[in-house]
Amino acid sequence: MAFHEYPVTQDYRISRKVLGVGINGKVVECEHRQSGDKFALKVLRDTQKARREVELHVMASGHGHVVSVHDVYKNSYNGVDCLLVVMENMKGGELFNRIQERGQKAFTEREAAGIVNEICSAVAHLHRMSIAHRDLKPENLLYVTTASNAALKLTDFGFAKKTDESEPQGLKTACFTPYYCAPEVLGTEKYDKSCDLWSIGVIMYILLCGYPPFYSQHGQPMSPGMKAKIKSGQYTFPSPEWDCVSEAAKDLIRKLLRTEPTERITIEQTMEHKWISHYRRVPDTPLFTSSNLNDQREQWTDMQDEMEATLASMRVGPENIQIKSLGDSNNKLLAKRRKGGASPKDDPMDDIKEEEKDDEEEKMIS
Amino acid sequence: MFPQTTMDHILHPTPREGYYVVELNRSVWVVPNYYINLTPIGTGAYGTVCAAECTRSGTRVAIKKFNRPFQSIIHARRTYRELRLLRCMCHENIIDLLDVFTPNENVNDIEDVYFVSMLMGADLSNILKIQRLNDDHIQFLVYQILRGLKYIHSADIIHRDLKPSNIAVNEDCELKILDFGLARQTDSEMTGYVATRWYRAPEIMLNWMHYTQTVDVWSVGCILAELITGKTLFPGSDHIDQLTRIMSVTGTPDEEFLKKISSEEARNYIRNLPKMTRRDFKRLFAQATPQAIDLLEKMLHLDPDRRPTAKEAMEHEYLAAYHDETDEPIAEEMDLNDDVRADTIDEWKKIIWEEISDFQKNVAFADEEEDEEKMES
Repeated sequence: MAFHEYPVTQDYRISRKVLGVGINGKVVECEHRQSGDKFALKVLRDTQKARREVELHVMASGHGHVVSVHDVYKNSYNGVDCLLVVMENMKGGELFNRIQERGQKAFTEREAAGIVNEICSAVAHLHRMSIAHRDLKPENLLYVTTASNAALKLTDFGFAKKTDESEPQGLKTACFTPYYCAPEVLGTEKYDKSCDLWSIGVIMYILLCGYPPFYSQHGQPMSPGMKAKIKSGQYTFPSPEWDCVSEAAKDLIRKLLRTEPTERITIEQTMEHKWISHYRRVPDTPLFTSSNLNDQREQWTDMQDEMEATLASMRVGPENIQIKSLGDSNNKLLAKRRKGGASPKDDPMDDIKEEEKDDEEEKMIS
Repeated sequence: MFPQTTMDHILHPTPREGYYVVELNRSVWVVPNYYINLTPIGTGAYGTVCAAECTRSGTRVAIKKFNRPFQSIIHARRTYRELRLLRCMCHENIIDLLDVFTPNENVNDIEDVYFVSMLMGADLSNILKIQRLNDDHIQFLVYQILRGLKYIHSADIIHRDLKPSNIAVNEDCELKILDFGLARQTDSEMTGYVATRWYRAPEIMLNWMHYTQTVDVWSVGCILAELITGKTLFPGSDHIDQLTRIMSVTGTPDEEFLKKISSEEARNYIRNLPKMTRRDFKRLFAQATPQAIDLLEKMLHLDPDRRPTAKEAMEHEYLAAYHDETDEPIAEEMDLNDDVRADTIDEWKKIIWEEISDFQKNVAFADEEEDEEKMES
């Protein structure tokens, strides 16, 4: 990975304006001294993980829907080695904030399809390069400017992974054999990429109704209309939000939100789906999304936590342990049980068992 | 050399004495100096988790940093409840609380709370992804879950969220129950890809009736089935799908059970379902032993009154190799301070600050006791 080793401040004037959300101090605004152009500067401690993040982001940079990287520096501050990444400045804010801010103006299914098309084209670009993003969530989708036709771009490669490289085998996995592998582990490349497809399904679902899938707030489970919905296969699309959403949209969601990673469609298949490939001809139907997103403001962070936890659980690391056979286990409780079983004649429970038997007889009589 | 001050506002301010800053997965952790080599290992309920080495005890620990513990009164109450529960519980099969700290200097500035527990290495959902367990493993694992449950239930606590990812295990088949007693405060049930609802007893998921401790036994039944087959037993995509999947196995309920459902709407809905008979568990779990099948039959009853308690389940012959009533302890009376009330986040900050301070004092006192014992010997 190529980077400059002279101070970033030779080329850029660094402002105190913090752009990053959540943990502040991560991303600040900076200005190119020669051109006056504004950028975002991301500061990372120089670690192996940070290098992977930067390397994969640089590889992916250049696509119309991926935040671009302009420069990378390695500098040291107060004895701390840092990587400094100069990125495109995304002034348009986050995806769902943009929709929330519409107020009374309706958000339509056609607009949703356009957005999902942009997300999918970014993911298709990554997957063609054998990169899985693995942290595809609303906070990582940003608009370039506040203009209504601004491009939506994908950012944050902190969990991205090259799917065509094998995981290093440590001592802990020396006993690893295919016999014990779950299918997801054997086909790790497909598994990692399908993580992104699940994320697209969740984001698409929220775009079309304003709340996440598998969320029980809307609709009564026992309402009389539920029976008809089950028969028509709409049980995951509650009324009234989903009444006006097209069947093509629902079909795509069903194919994306399959719980088995191997059954989920690929990004290529998603791009070929008519709701995406013909996104400009999707019905221009007004949706409930904007009002629901505003109503859900207080629960939005809980939803974000839930999505983060789900993504984390899908990023199965290489350090999976296995349980030893019980014969080889060093387990206190097991040792106690074995010691106890060795001398049945000295069982102090005999008297207690007799008492219990008497108690049971009394209960049967009464 | 380089202008030092230029980056000061980007790099984080110096933490208080005895603490240091480490950045992990784009999150900033501020921990005591005696926790070193922090490595991210995942995301738990309401927080993220790191493995670390404790130089004081020489052991590997798990440190959990809470997500925004003071974002709302609900978040604060949840954090406090978990802290109280973990402080009061002491059992081999329940996660222990080794340490709790905040890097903030005083009660008004408190923003972050960290819990420290023993590092277990994996949870059952991780294990199931890469390993098929033999019947010895399954018996011992299920026994340990029930052993922990007996203790929890004896304190009148219901877990409500038992699932493979809340069961920690290590290579030696030691097992601990995690993240319990954290029922959500609102009616909204936020679940994602790995759905909590898959392991929920139907009466709690669908709000049929006041539920009892046997909702957790239903969850253990689902977990046992998954340990045997390697697949989720009821992977429902929503409430109705979940119910349909459950009834396709248990059969639709009889009239006697329907009378127990307080909601007339629910009763009518169920009566209108097509009749389903109970599946033959011997065929459904063809690879299981007869004893395991019998235990599954008992634990996966629609009627919670006909499900065994955790104590009763441990007496089942499937677990006979491990059952020992003299070593299946119940809880001493616990003071969970459930009556603590606060109307503002600032009040909750004070309550939690005092709880952490009290914990630290007790730890310091315990350390002194140990020192005295060493001097005496």
